[in-house]
Amino acid sequence: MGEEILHVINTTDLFIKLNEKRKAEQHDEVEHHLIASKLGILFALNSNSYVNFKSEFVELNDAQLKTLDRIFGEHFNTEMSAEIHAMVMTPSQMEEEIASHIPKSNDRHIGFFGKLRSLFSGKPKLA
Amino acid sequence: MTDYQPNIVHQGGQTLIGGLNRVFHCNHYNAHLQMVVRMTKGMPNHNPERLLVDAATPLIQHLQKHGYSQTDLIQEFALCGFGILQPHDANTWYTPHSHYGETTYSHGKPDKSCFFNSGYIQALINQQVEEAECQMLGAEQDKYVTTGQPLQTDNYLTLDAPFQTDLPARFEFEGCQHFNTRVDEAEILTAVQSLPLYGKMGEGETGLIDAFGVVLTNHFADYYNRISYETYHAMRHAGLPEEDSKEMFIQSGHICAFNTFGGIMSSPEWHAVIEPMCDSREDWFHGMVAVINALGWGLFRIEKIDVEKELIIRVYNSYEGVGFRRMYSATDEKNISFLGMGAVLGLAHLLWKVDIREKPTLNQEFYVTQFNNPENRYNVVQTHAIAANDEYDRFVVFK
Repeated sequence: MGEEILHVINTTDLFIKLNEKRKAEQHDEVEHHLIASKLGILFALNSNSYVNFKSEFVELNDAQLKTLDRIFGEHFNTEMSAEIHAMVMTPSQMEEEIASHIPKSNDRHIGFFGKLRSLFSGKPKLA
Repeated sequence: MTDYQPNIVHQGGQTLIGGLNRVFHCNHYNAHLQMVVRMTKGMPNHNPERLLVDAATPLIQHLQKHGYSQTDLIQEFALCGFGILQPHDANTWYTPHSHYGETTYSHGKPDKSCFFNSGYIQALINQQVEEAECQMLGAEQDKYVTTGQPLQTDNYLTLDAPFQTDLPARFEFEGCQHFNTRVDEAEILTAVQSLPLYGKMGEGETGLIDAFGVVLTNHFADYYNRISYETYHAMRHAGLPEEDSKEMFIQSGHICAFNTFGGIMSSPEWHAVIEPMCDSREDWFHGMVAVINALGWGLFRIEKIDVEKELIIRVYNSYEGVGFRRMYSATDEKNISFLGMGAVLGLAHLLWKVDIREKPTLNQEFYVTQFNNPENRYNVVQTHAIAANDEYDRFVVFK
């Protein structure tokens, strides 16, 4: 059964924010690729669904956002609730964003919008 | 004190103490590998923290069967850099100094970290043990207590593993590129094996091995193999994709290479003994591989160096490949020596991405800056694996 997609997050922005917060709290920064790998595994084990955090964008529903928040707390020792909620795009915000940025060439298969669209392809569920 | 004299045998690229292969690894590798294992907490029918404890016990029991006394084991704990192990009463032990309690770390919330030590003590007193207090949580020393539960650990080294005795000399095997280098591997091996890379007991001693800007252990190869492959198999069993499951382990090896190899190539010993032999950046590969051959990881042989394009290294008797086959039947997976993959990739990055010759400050901030930058980033693939019944492990680093 498909779950409604409610939020899109730019992973690079997310990792930068995580490291900013870790640094402010006197923790070491973590390389982005390592964060993405850890999140992918932890997210799968905690939510029984696979999300590829190595992608530029990830799509998450409300329950998955809570899982992400919990993972940041437990495995990165960083409280990220406010930061996550500040950077998620809701469907309506996404529509506005897309409407204000439609390129004149109307080439909808490359760049930011192409990547956004690619998010809506199916992803494997864990066995 | 007894006259504890460890029986250290260098054989086929491996270092055996008490008949068990030991490998030097740094606190960064130990920290990251432990983090990877603990990530799987909560998976059904899988208890990673018990795995981290219980994987140590059969190895100590093996040593006991081969004549080690309790005093020997306490002394070897220090010699191998694990710290100072002290009995308090029948049910309580302490480590006032410990590698895992003092020098490892976690990205997550601080937590107890001396699982290996608990497993070591379990064998000493033949009871199940858990850590009650940890320096990682601010305790003055790590404390271990019996749980009252029966000790249930099985020997997992049950299979005959392939071990090569007919090993090729350096640069003398089919397919090896012609190299012209002044780097003297035999001289480097002798020099590294003469370094005091062991922990000490006694007044004011810590039982830790502080060297090359990291803290080393001369650890049980089979412990690493057990916790790595059991965790990997559990991840795969849970449905995690193969690539993702392997990547965390490979990254641990990469971080290990960055810190340990980087530390070695920045050390006074390197600059005094090895750098003078190097006429080119690529000679640094030969120098570092000679050092690696003293670490117990297997016999490393460089097959090809195509400057800034490709690096190919074979490993005979790799501790991961041989260790895998001591526990499991042969696999059809080739990309299975995770530490080897990460280490060889890390070596290439240290010379072709970072250029360690420029003496950068090797710290976490530098690591993050370097590896968040995709420029000059390399990939690694394993084409041959002892675990898959090949004669050697073979790693190819490419752009």
